[in-house]
Amino acid sequence: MRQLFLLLLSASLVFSACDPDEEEARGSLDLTFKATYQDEPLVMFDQVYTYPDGSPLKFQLFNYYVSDITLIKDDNSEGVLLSEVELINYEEVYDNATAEQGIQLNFDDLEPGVYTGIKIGLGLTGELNATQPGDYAADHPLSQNFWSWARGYVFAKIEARADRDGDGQFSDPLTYHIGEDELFTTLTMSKPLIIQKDNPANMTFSVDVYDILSRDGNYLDISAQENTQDHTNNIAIYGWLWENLNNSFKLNN
Amino acid sequence: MFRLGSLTNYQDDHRQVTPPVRGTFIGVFLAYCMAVLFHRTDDDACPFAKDAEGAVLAVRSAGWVPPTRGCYAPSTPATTNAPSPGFLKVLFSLLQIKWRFSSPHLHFQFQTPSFSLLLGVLIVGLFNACTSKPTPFPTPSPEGFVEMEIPSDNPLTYEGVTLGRALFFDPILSLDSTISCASCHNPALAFTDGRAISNGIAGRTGQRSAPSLLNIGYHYKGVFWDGRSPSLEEQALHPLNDSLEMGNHWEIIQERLLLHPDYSKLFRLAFPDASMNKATTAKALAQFQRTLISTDSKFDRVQRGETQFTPQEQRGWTIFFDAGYPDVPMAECSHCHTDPLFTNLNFANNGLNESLSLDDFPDEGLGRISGNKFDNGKFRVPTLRNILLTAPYMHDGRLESIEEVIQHYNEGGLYAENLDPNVRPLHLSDKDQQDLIAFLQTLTDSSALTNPMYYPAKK
Ligand code: HEC
Ligand code: HEC
Repeated sequence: MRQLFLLLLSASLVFSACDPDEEEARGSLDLTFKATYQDEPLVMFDQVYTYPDGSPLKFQLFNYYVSDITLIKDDNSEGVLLSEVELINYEEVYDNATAEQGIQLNFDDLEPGVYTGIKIGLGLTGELNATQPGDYAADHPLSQNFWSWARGYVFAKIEARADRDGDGQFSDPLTYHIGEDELFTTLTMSKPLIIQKDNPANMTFSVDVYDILSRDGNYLDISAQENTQDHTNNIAIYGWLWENLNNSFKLNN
Repeated sequence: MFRLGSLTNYQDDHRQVTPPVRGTFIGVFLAYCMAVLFHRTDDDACPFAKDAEGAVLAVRSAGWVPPTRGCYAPSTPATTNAPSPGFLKVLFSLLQIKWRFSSPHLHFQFQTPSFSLLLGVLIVGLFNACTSKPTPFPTPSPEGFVEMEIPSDNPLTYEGVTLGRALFFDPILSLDSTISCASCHNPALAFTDGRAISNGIAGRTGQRSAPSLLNIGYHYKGVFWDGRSPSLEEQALHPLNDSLEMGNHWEIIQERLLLHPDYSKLFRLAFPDASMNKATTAKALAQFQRTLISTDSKFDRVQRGETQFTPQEQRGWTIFFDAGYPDVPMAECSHCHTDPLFTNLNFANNGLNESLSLDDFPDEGLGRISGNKFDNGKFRVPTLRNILLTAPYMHDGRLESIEEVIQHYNEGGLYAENLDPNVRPLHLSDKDQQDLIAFLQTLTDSSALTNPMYYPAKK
């Protein structure tokens, strides 16, 4: 009986030793990425927008990669890496409600403290762009959008159909696929941010796709076949669009 | 603990005292009988795999060769009847027990044959339970492919794959025992059936064309043309019950499997902790299908630097991938038919039906599953591997030849509001089209078509 008692006692000791330590207080942060077109929420298929030349326009795809999302600390230290890479993908945004919500990323388990801003890479860092889908699981953001012949990823895609002759049929396809190492840019945005327990912080970013397709009254003349499409062949097209995307990317709050 | 107490009482009651040596001997003997009866040899493990010809497959693929081991390999020499190391282990452990239990205050435990028997059975049973754990089968991981996602409750094992392979080729799964999975997914035709629309039992015609199953394990966004089945485990039960395909009922299938001389054992080996049921049947079929890999086409060998394209194939490659060389047109194919799988696993409308309203598609495809009208007329982008072997083409087999397919794309597809913008008039010349076809030809992987592991094991 005494042995049994000892056994139980030691067992209970062993088990209690496994109890996790008191959880340290951690904070969380939500990042929201919105897309608009002339300030209206960007919806795939179901919404008619207006191309800068006046043609009705319907979107089928808008996506872009962001990489090395880092919170900047007030002590000038390295900062906190939130995510190596994310695909901000509006492909399945079919209605206004979803569009207004935007694409959301949640980061938990952050060290509480005061942060002064955030760094976001638009496109992929050279390191990431040197990898390939085979390096990832099938549902990883980098398992797709890869140009094997160019050995690099497509940083951003815009696909839409326009109705230039106004007959109600959106017969004019537009496809712009942009990506190469040199295009990667790091944006640094300042915003005081307190990460604390039980009070999630948030930041909202936005891109206006009209501002990607048009700048200072200039736009691509889509009546010319060669302007309806670019796969990072013509820098006058993809370089210009990418610069516009960079300029349009804003921190809202 | 309390058992021990009662055994002590048993010893005090001197009804059945037998000399310790005899009791132990009987125990060991019975254990041996059990071991012989239940212990598995490699030979037992594979009643389906005695392929004698032993020719080690000519399957070569720098990426991934289906691993061979024990019964799974057609080339394994027959196992002998010598006592397996497993049995020796049992014997040894029993002897050890005897030695330990012979200490003065414990040796009583071997004094009754019934207890020896119990102990023997227990030990052998435990031993068996441990050793009959299925052997893990390495996850296919060809170079350049994304990682295959394997559900944690159905890891690949040699025993599971062996069972799945047996089931896949066995017509007893269909109501009238005429049709197996392989009737519509014939390995020699890259696991298709060469028909526009598949035929089921009693010549009944189905609704769609049978897709290739090579590399199907990578389809993590759902299988079927409309993605309606989330996993291979879920999918396997569809054809069994589909009245236009195998037309069967689970109760009938189970009865047949139970009566069959081999399946009980195969199931026990593959799923020692579960019974023969729908779930384990589906799991085994899924495991076998995850081993169907194609990575050794000429295209792959060129990628690996082992050979070179002809100038015509090279030009076709440039057209296919839109590499944008001066004076070489772009065909936009690789936006959707992305290598290495030659599908991006997405759904798209590639312009097969002119449809002024999104409600007018004869087969809504993805839309019927998602309930979203913008998905109407969208189908899963199929792989183009082995494409020259799998005519006719498209979900309903409407295009008879690869030339017709190229012509379809060259014309830019038929209009619908959700026609993919990457499908547009291509202005390819005859020569461009021939070069493109020459490139598609390099996607044929004959080693996958002759891999003996993808055919029924010889009995
Ligand atoms: C009568 C012909 C027939 C038989 C028998 C048959 N299939 Fe199929 N299979 C098809 C057709 C047709 C499709 C496409 C159906 C669809 O997408 O709606 C298909 C689709 C599939 C798919 C999805 C492929 C993809 O690319 O998404 C898998 C996996 C599959 N079958 C496995 C099996 C298995 C396992 C069996 C045996 C249990 C089997 N099939 C029996 C005709 C058949
Ligand atoms: C917008 C994406 C897209 C593009 C671009 C595209 N395809 Fe397809 N392809 C599909 C889809 C989706 C299907 C299946 C359609 C169906 O059956 O309804 C398909 C089917 C096929 C098939 C028939 C496969 C089978 O197993 O039946 C072939 C062959 C094919 N495509 C070749 C090509 C070639 C060559 C090109 C370039 C000229 C190309 N595709 C461009 C999406 C695309």
